[in-house]
Amino acid sequence: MNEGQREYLPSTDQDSLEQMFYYELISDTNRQIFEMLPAPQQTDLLQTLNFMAQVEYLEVARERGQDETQALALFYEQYRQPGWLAEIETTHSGFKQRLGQVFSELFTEVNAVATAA
Amino acid sequence: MLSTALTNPTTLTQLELIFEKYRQQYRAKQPALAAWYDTHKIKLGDLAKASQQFVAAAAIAGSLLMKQTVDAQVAERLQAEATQAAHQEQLLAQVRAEEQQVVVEKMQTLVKQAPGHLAKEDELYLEQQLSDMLGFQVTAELEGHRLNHSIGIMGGEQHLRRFPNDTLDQHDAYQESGMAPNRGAFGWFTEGGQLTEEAIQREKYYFAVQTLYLPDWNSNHAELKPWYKFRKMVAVNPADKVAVVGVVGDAGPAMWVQKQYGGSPEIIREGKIWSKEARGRVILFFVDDPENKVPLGPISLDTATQLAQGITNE
Repeated sequence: MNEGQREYLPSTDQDSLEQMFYYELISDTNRQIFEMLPAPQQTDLLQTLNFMAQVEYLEVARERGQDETQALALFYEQYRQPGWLAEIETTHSGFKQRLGQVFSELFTEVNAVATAA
Repeated sequence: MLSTALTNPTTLTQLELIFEKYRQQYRAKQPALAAWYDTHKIKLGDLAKASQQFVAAAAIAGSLLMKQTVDAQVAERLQAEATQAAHQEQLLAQVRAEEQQVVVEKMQTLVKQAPGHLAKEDELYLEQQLSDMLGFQVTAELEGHRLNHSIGIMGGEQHLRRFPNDTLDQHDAYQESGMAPNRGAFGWFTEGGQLTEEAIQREKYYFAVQTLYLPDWNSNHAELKPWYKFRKMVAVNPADKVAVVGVVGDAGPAMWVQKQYGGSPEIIREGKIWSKEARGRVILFFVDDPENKVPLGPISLDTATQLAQGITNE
């Protein structure tokens, strides 16, 4: 796909990517891998990553004894706040590392397929 | 090279299998959440909508379903969906109202900043939240155009003449505001010589913005003027939880006035722009409305009050 044919992500997906990149859940290298994927696969991958983050966050809410309904309702808002990860780490040290690790494992598999192609 | 190879159908299938494998792993962690996504065919990435809807669906069943057996979940959900649709809507509205209140409170703080632009992060936040809240897209910058201020103080303007022989007594409201002696900087409001309903609405809800101080106004006037003429914008008065959609109908005010915008008599009154709490402070964003579907006029942002009134009235 050359530049003239490049497809662009919907703004919500782009926003989601930037947020993960901002939180350093996606490294520079993995972002490069991400950007080599065709747009539909980028969207699919982002949705997968978002779902994983949401599930992990519900685990935190449950362990904190928070109302899970409220936690889920506020997830999207909180996720967009700059201090989201730092706040989780106050009670769940290692959350970022754990989530980043599983993201990284996923990207390793994606990279293996991409480079073998 | 690599991106070309990635269009290979076999490779794409392999990628899909990887994504699916991880989704399955996480579905196993939260089966109720996953099932709900499936049932409602929600895009996994559409978290804003999905999380709100999930709350409503979960609340109907009495509590989050994740801790219950699958049979119990299905039975309760079926029963609840049959009998409590209204309750679902009410809960959903309540969650939205609470979220909206958080946004309004943030705007109430931001609007007190010195006239100018918001920090980029705050600007993006407000663009998204206001778009969700209002139901149409708003933005501080549209098609590469940006005013010198997206936060500022709005002064009251007079009525504008819509056509050469227009007189004040032909305007149906707020005649005490008077009428400017000259036509607006963007010309007459009439369309093809006709005072159409749209022309009347445009004069009722017009903004004056400082196009004359745009850095490229003098050099690029010929392109900028038609772009700004009757460009749809929205002024948000967070102190009184009201917004007003209008169009750019005049240029100004002058710098020495120390206000950044002007508003028609209708905008000032109906938007409560000079209430004791607001004192003229507004957020002014463009409305991205290429199909001209967003009507002009005031919009209440006070859904919490509307919800409370709805409950009281039941």
